[in-house]
Amino acid sequence: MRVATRSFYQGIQERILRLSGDLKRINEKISSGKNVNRPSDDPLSLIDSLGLKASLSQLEQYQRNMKRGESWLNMSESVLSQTLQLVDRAQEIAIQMASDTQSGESRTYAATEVGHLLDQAISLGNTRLGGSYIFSGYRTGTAPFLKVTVGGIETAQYDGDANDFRILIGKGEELTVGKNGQAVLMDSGIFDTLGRLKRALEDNDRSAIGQQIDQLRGAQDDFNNGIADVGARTSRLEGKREILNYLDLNLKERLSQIEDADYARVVVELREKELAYQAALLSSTRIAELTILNYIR
Amino acid sequence: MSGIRNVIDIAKGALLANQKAISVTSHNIANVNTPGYTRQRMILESNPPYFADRLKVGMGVRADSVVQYTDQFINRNIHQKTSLLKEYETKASVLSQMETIFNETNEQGLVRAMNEFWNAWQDVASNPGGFSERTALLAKGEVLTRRFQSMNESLYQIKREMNTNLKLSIREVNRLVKQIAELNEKIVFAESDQTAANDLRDQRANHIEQLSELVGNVYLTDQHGALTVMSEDGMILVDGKYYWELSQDGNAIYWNGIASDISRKLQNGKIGAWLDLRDETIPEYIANLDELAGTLMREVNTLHLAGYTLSGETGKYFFENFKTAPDTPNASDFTGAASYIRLSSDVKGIPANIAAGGVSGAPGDNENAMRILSIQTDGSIQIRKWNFDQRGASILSTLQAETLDDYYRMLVGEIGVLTDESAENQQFTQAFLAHLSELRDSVSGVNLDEEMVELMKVQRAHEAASKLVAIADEMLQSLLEMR
Repeated sequence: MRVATRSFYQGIQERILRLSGDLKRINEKISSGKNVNRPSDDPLSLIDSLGLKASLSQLEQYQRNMKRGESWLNMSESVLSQTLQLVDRAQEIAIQMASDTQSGESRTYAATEVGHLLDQAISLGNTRLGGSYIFSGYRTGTAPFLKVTVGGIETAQYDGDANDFRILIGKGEELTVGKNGQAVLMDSGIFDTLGRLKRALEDNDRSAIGQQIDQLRGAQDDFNNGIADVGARTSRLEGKREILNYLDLNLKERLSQIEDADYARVVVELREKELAYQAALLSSTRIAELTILNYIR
Repeated sequence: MSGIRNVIDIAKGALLANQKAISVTSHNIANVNTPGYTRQRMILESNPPYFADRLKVGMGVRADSVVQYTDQFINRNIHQKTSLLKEYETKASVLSQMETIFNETNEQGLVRAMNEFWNAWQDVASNPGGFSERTALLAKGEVLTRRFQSMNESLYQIKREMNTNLKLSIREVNRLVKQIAELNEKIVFAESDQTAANDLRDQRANHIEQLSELVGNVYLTDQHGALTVMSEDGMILVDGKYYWELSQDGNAIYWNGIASDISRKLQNGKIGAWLDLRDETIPEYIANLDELAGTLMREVNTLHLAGYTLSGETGKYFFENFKTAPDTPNASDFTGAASYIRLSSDVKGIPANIAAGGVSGAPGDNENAMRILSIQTDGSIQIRKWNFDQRGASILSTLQAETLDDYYRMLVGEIGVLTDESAENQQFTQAFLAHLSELRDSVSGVNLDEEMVELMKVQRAHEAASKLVAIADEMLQSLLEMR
């Protein structure tokens, strides 16, 4: 084919421009460390990576929620075990004082101790976590238990509501981390029982003391069940956490596969283009030197 | 005597013809880099013989004509492909601008703002009574609405640029059609003596090529050598020495000052690309972004209205409520939602008014927050996907059910595909055009080596003709010296 001088030089220009475009793209990949630097680089990968990023962001949020849920559960467990110890102590006192060998005086002393136990139980029920009462249901700004005296018997009144506090630990997966005080404490009758025991000790009434022993046994069962229930929910949380950690790792790996530049490959590509660029420059200058003008005077 | 005089005449003719041939070759060499130059060649012809008795004796050479080496078929093809190339090139460059608006590969994208917005709702759900969580949610909401607004503004800015570009290029079209008409007149005049007006034709072809860059066109030549130029669907621009100008009025383009929009008749070239982008691609993205913002407003507000604030109030908006029809955005027409979306006066600056509660609004009530944050993963949200076709003459929407995230991801993916496609079309057409140009240049382009050889050939012929004069002179001398 006949080749015009102009198209020859144009060809050189175009080839070199194209190669420098390629070099620029490769350089961008290397310096950003990313395979996809704008949507058009690889639209499908970008859609995937955006999906993965959204999932990752959700996972991180679930993990944060779970951390908060965990502190609620730990706090509930510790309150319940302390209350259980307190019930155990009241039980001991009741059994001891039900015996006929005890004097009225010692029962009066015991009554004072039981009074302290009642105060402690109420104060445990009013435990706060970061400013929120954990046994008030939704009314976390209000102390749920208030000491009152009904018919000469000291007890507590419940000021919270009947809702349980739940958090999200997965898509559409809720976990109750704060049961309301009515279910956890009031329903066991612990406050009434302690109040009655105190009154019976003050009145030196042996049979009334004996009645409270059974009541306390029932409360012990309730608290044991409650602790087991919190434990079950804690282990569900931990199981979920393990799954989320695994998912998190998995998603990050997939994201890296899509997003991150494969350096080994990119560098090889760079070498190839570099070589092509140099070759193009060399052959262009060589050929440009070939002209009849060199041979005529 | 007549024999020798004939030799001198022949030598004189040869000298003159070769001198002309040298100037044609020089013209070629001088124009080696002139764009659109078509190489020329002197056509030499032998003179008709005279009769010496029974013999026909040659009368030497004369310069017959200067011809161009050109291939009309390739030229026409090049003009067409130039229109296409400019269209793709322009689209690729504008789309890559739009792409930066939707560039979610960096950390400032809308996806991130949405993720953080939903996460802030989760934090409120985890601690519904907490003021810092509520304040953070309002801040994230603010960031999200600003993001919508700035994306919307950037899209409108690109749309406005299209009109500025159109204005300038229409002025350029008018200049070109006027010049083509003028050249038509000059060419018809110059060729009235049956000689080709090579350089004028080159100029005119150049102008046609420039016009093709701006807008797709077709042309035909009449028997006098004048061109008739039309837009691709037959709207006449130049006919002989007459031409018709275009003018722009807002979004409309008029022909010959007639107030009827002909913009849909202009296809291909830069103008076609800008019109396609202005009336299809950009409004489609604006509409879809509005749709996303409007749907977010609707979904969040519907739930938020039913919830309870910290003080137990209900019926509060989270985002500013829609306007009432016919104003937009309204509950059924989301036009303008992406620029309208903002925090409502109910919650702005008043974190306690976030309706996180579902029953009473007590500080531990997170039921409504839980409902609202589940919008993020709700795959059954009804959302319209707009499709602008035929430069906005056909606007259709399809109702889809998907998460807001998925909807937006699809928009980003589409712009990526679109940009990639234009870039690929551009590359392909460029390669094709480069090939055509090479073909054209192989016919019409100047090759310096070839011209140098030509020059040497003519030079030798000139030398020989000079020698001929000397020899004829010697012959005359020897005749005159005879006694």
